[in-house]
Amino acid sequence: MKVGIALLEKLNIYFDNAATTPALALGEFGGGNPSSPHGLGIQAERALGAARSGIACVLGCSPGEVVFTSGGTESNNLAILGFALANKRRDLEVFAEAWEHPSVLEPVRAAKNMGICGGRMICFSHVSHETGDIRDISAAARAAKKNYPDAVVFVDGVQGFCKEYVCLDDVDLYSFSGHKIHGGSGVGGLYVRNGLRLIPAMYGGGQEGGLRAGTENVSGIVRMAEAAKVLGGALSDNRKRVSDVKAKMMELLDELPDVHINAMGEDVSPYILNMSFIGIRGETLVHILSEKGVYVSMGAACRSRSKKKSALEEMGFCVERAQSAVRFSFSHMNTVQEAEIAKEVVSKSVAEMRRVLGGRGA
Amino acid sequence: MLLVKYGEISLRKGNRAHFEHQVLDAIRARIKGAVGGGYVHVKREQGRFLVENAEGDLDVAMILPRIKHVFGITDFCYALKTKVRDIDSLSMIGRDFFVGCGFSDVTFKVETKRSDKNYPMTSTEISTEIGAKIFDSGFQVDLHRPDKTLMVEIRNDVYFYIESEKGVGGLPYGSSGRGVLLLSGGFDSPVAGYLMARRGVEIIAAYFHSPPFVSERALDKVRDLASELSKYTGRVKLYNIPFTEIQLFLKENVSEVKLTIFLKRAMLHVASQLAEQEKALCLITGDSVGQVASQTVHSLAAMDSAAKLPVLRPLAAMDKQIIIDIAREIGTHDISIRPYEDCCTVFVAKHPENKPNKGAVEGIEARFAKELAELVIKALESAEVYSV
Repeated sequence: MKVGIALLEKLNIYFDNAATTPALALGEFGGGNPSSPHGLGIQAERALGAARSGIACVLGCSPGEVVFTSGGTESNNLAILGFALANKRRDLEVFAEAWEHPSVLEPVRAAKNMGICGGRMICFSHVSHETGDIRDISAAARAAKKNYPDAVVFVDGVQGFCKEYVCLDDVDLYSFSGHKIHGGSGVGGLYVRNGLRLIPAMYGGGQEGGLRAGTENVSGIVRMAEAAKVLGGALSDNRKRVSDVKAKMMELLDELPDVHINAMGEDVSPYILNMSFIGIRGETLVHILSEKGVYVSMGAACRSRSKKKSALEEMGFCVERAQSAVRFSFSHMNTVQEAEIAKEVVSKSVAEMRRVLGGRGA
Repeated sequence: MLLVKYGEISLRKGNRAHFEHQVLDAIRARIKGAVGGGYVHVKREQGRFLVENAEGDLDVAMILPRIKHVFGITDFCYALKTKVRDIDSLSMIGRDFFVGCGFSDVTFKVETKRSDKNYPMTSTEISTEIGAKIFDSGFQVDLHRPDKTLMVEIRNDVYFYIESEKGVGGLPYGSSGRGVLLLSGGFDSPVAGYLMARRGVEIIAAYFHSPPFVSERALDKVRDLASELSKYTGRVKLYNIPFTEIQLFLKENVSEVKLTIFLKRAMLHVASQLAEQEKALCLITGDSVGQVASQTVHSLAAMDSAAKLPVLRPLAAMDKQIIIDIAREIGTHDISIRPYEDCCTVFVAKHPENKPNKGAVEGIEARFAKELAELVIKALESAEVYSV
């Protein structure tokens, strides 16, 4: 099917699903505080329990190992700072690559600054938010523990949860977020291996096994668990759908010169496609596409403004490539038709931009 | 009540009444919206304004922040008016007023002006009498360099006042004609706009937008900056002028190292046209000599022939730190630090030319002057206007 881009109404193609995903229309939760003694409270407690079991089922852990939080960032903070505080009296060694997400790197830095570092922790992401590179987490965890038997392995699972199969063997901590899986924002969670001691981030009524005090966001948690159930159940079907979308976009490689795919390894998530269109700044292309109704993001959105090197540069890509990087990220709700249209829009925009920028001095 | 003093305006002989009314209107406009202030009136009296309400219990703390930034005002004085005339009562009132201002650990003196020459004591006698009472309350006298001076004026009524807070000075807004401010998202141009506004120039702001090279958020940022300026000036007219086409045209036609100069010349072309349309008499930029390559005196010389009107550069002689300090003071700093690029930073060469030759630049521009002029008109025609 050939689709023209001269459509009358503005396009609305959302390829920025690694930033956030539209929430699925799911049932509303009735209300009640799970800690209340009355009937409504008991209902809420049951709903919360069911949600916890649902998530545990997706992760392959026991419900008692799931702690609900306000999102991925809080989960990562709880994992890193909670661990550092719990191991205060030992020397700290935290290993995290410089291209990890700021919600991993910043707590590590904070822990070091506060001098509360202790113990040995190894952090890595399940799926890179930049390039989509997938890590075989249990194999990596096993390897890490072989070298450092006392190490604690923390996996930032935000981009992998419900999109990749999770095997938590040898993994001690695994974070996830609701709004990356169509489950609504303001909710997330952390798998904490049974027996691992963390110091809580918040004190109060002792909710979430004492690790995260404060009345649970029951409606958010219930919705996230529903979404996890839907996505987790259709994981391989979704991967196939999304792979087709990604494959369509990857045809750009053949259609345009000077286009590169940015990834460190061979095993890359079908949900993320990081491409460089040499000669055009990623930011510029993002604006052009947004003007035309195709929503994508820069390669390194979270820290594109800081003086620090971008994540892609940290991975070893050259400046030129890092600056011209654009990240397409997909969801099972995207279609190949959308990709077809988006591809054409990108192709034309890049050609046009290269033409106008191609003058003297470019 | 509050006594408001204005400085330079009183020096203007012929236009004095006009200037006074401009400040008066600005004060009135700002007080009008005061919540719970009741009816506050402002009147002109003997080279200053009195702000008071009918009950005589004006909430100065509420009024002052609203009018603190009105251009043309040099000082604000807490003041008190009384009909009492006997010296014993006046001393008590004077003392209570001084103590009530809440100063601690200050030296003072009392200065009296006796317009009513029928009053039975001399100015010095009155000052001594009242000063003695304040001295008794534990304040030290310093007749030469006092921290605070209590002024006493004997007229039909008796006034007490103390200079309490400095105004921003300058001239009433709009009294010096109109200018087009080239407003970007940086630190400098909002400060330049503020400084000229303070000298009485009414500001029309022009922002050059280059989608898709800059984010839509850069426009929001400039709107927020204009809105911050409008706190001092009242509503500001902001033109959002599409600049991409001119930018790409110039990129095609001039070498990369010279591009910035030509971009700035193009902006001056557009701003000059806009000034004509808006009946403005000058252009205002945030250039500070030597700050970047396009702000060397050579560069400024090479660009000014593009302007049809004088280009005022109030920051020309200022160091960056001073500019940033002013930006902090006027509240634009925190907006300017938001990280969006402006159109000048997009195509900048690594080492742009810093000593361009005026003749050469003009010669190059002459080659495509006609096409450029068309683009300038087109840009202005498709500009959007906001009242911020």
